[in-house]
Amino acid sequence: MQSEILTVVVERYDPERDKAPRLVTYRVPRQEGMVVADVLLYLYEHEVPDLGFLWECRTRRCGTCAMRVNGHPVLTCSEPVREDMRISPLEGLPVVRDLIVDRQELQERLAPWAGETLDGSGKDARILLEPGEIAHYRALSECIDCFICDSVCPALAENAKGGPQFAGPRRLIRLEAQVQRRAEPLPWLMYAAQSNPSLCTRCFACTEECPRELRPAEAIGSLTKRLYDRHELDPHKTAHITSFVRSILRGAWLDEFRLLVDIYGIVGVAKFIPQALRMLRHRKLPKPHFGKTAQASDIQTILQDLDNRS
Amino acid sequence: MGNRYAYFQGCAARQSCPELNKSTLLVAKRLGWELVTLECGACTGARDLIEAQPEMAMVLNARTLALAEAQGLETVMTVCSTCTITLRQVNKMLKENTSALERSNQELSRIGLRYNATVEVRHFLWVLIADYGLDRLKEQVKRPLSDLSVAPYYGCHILRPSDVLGFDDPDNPRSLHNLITALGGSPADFSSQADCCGFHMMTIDENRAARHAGGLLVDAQQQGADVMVTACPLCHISMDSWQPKSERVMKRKIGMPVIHVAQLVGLALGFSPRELGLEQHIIRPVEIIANYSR
Amino acid sequence: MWEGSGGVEVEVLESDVLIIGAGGAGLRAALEASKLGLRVTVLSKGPVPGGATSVSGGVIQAAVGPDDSPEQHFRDTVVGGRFVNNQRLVQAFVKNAPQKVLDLERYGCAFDRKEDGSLDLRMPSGATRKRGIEGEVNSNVQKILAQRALEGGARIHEFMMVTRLLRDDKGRVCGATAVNFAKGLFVAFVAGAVILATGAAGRLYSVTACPRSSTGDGVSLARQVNARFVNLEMMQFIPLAYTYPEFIKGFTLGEAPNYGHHTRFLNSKGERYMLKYDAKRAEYATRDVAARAGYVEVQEGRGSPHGGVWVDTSANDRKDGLYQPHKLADRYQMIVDFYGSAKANFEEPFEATPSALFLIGGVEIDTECRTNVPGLFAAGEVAANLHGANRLGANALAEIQVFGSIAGVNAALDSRGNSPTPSNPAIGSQITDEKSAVLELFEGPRKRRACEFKHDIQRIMWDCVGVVREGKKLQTALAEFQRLREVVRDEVGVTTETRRYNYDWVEALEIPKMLDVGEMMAAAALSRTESRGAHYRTDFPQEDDANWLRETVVQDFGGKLAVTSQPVDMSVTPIVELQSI
Repeated sequence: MQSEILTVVVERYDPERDKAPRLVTYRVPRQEGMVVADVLLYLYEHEVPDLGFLWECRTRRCGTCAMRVNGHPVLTCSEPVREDMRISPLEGLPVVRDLIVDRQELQERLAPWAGETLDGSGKDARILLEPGEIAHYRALSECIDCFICDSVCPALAENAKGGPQFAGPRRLIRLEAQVQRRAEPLPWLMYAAQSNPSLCTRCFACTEECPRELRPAEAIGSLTKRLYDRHELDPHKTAHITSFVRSILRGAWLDEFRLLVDIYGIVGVAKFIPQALRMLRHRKLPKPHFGKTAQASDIQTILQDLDNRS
Repeated sequence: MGNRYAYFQGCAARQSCPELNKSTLLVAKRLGWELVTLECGACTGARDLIEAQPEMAMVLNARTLALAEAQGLETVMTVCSTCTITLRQVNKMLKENTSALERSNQELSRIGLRYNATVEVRHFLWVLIADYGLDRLKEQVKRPLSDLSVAPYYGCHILRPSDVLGFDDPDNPRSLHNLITALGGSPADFSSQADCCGFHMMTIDENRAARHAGGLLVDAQQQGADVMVTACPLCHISMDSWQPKSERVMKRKIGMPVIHVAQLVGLALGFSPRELGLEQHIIRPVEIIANYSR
Repeated sequence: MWEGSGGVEVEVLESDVLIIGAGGAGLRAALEASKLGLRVTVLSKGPVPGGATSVSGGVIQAAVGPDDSPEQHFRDTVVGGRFVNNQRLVQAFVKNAPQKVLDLERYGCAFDRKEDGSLDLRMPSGATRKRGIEGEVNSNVQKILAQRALEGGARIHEFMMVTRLLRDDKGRVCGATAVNFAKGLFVAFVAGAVILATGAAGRLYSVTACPRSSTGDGVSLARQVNARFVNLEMMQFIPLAYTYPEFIKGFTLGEAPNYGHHTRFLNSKGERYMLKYDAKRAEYATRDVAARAGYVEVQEGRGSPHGGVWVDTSANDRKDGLYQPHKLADRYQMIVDFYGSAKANFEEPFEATPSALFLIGGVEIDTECRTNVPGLFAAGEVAANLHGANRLGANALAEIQVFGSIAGVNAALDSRGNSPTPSNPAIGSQITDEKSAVLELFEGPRKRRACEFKHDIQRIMWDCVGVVREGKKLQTALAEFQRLREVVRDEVGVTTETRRYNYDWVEALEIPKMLDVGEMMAAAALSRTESRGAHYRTDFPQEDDANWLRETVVQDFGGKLAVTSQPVDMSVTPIVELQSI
């Protein structure tokens, strides 16, 4: 049974005035077909003149209305209301005020490479695309910079603790789109390499949460392949992939032992000796030359052909 | 349906997590499942192959599925989340994209195989819940896990993306929770229970991965968990085998035992910790071993 | 940082070309001007992408087909505009459109092409040839243009509400003041030349598809510097839009042909009322006729429960391929959830209302996009008079590319030799005054909310300057706007302290501008004593070629509006030839 009045808890915070975020409860009359943006607009017009939230297009194009409702990131312009909502800003991003997070300056957000005058800037895009390519490219370009993918990315969250910086799914899906369309994509591909795509943990949170279903994780996979094919992927990931491929070509199962050797080298893998000894004691050490599959040879030829073709 | 499944062991369950294979076989046998091990299966290629060599990954996994299908088996049962997502991803493509299926079958015909896209890929946990049923499982419980507070750790690849996995709601997964309850234990909800363990970053930046995994363990610990259960041997490696590393990087003692789903079930069914390979773990589940060995 | 008299500190940013508005026209202009190596600054009131470009239909028209020609495009545009288009502008438009539109592909837009590589062209509504190009021509185009402009060195600032244009002591427009409301700062810009590309004004009305920012600010800005405006009475309403709920109200449902060949419109009595308004074409009459008919039915009490009319598509052949406007809005599932599958798929009658879409009239420009004010150029929706009395579908997206480009180049050339500085006392005092005015909204006893008045203005515009006009109601509107001006001045203020993203402040700045624009539109509508295209008057219901092959002209002199008219430029093709088609 729907109630006439919705109870809404909003996380309010003005870093210039408040020490910490505070939760404020409001009551809003329910309208038919109400979405969360309507609730915020109602509060703004009737009760809270300084409620900090963004809205513009109402149709999932501008990306400014993203925030969390009951912990889940959504576009409020198209999120139906429910009883007892808790509204808070996107996680993991600096809060400007209330429900507004830092969406960066336009250049950084949309064309971060512009400051570096990449060597293909100003040149034309490829005009004739295959039909399959068009749909895919358009999908990638549809990113509205809502920041939802970045807000759920665990690799991006780790950046705060130092070390190499992951650029995030949003940046990477944009770069994949650039690589697809630019007639000379190499500068953007190299720019992507510097964005540390290998720090993506392949957790698919971004793909799961993207409100436009653009699949950033898959775009990162695609960039990885491009870099790998050009031998421009970082050494560890390259070794990881190559080892996997070799293992499978050799014996159809992954040889974990060999994997570590391939990645770290015979000398480098020495640092794992204490760990290896421990694993050995616990009978968990992968055996060298982990068994080939009973009928490995049947698939080996095929796989080798595919490898040669690629 | 029945209870006859193609058993895809994967790579980790036989190398760095042999206790997983061991406990799976014990539990399946006890519950009356017939597991037909796909000896001549092949590694799924994890995420590396499907990203860097998509065509190879497709054919390789089509073969595994075809092998199961050829033996009249409807379900390929996995015990690793990454195997699950990769096999399901390829299977979905083969079911939805005729060109992919044709290309695969063209290669498979060279070795006398053909895939008709009739197989389903399901994780052991799903088979347990959906086929066997938790009510039925409750009846088999000999030793309810009554004083055990178990942190249900889902990780990523068994949940996301939901159009590939689709068994549990990624925002509010319940399968492990319900299993724990059915076995008599208390699920210790913790906020990062569906977060990534960082395994696939392990060889890229160890410290980062170790910090990440450590954070999850500490979170579970702070919710009062005695032990963490995981559906994936890769998560297990990350959080058990490499827990000492996490402790070093975070400069704090954690000491949270991590066990596999099959081991959790096995304990409740009455198997001893030794039989289930719990003594092989790097972080020794001391209390479980003490309390559940008789 | 510039320090004016009395210790007023303002950040002043210099460029060669200042562009106000970051829709398709503004960004295209920025791209072109930056290509010429000039310093370009673009100010966007809202986010980028944003504005009407980002929510537009997605089809762009240009005479690129093998069986087509600019001449044919010209004819379609002038016929569609009921012959009161500025023909020289139309000519410049149709000749440049093919190149300027195809340029978008070179910048990175993926147009729909067929297997053989040729463009997959559609027939836009009102056109006689297939010349509609499709494929990411709205929000993606904005991103692509913005990227290219940024790569060319342009600077683009979001959340900049421009409050006033600056003029030097010779009366040349040389910059603007703005509130950077993301940061809560008052800033000023000086430039060699300024392009107005502020776009749409749909938010002047209660029912519109336009985004939040589309309050027609540019019209007010130009008014303040004595620009000339033509045909401001012309406002396009799409005949069919969702009536409810709020999340979708005003978004397009297209027109009868979109659903098939036997679409019926019904009032609350179940009557096919279109037969009264256009016996021959009925539901397939032009947009303005259809919009007007629907509006009148509702006004006269025969509307549907949510204030619209019923659209019945049951007699159409389902195999025609169903029009899916809600898929444009990317919210299909929501619509199914709300309306139920049958209504969502148009299998059951659904309610529809006209909705304010496009400002057809605007600032007068010549073929180089110059206005009558030195230093001030204009392009895109805010400029006129390309479309006459009625805009063809898909012409707007082409217009912004053509005139955005022309304005960018010409403003760039014009900016040379002009380097205004705020130390020029004429400019400095404008900046100081404007800063006080803008910040003053936070002071004093005035405490009424701007949003309240926004709704009042929208209601007045909808009722009196909307789909159907009438002399007395237009005068009422003018009187109301006059009254509201004083009330707003005396009573509207900002009650809260925060400066960052304070939309109460933004709306308080918007209201006086909306009053400016509404007043001009009402005055123009009052002066055109005929009905033509989008402008319909019950007291002058006929088209009057004898007297009204003219443009209305509105111009502000010292706060008072002078309303006149002038003959339409018909120098390319005599009307008689076009009328015989």
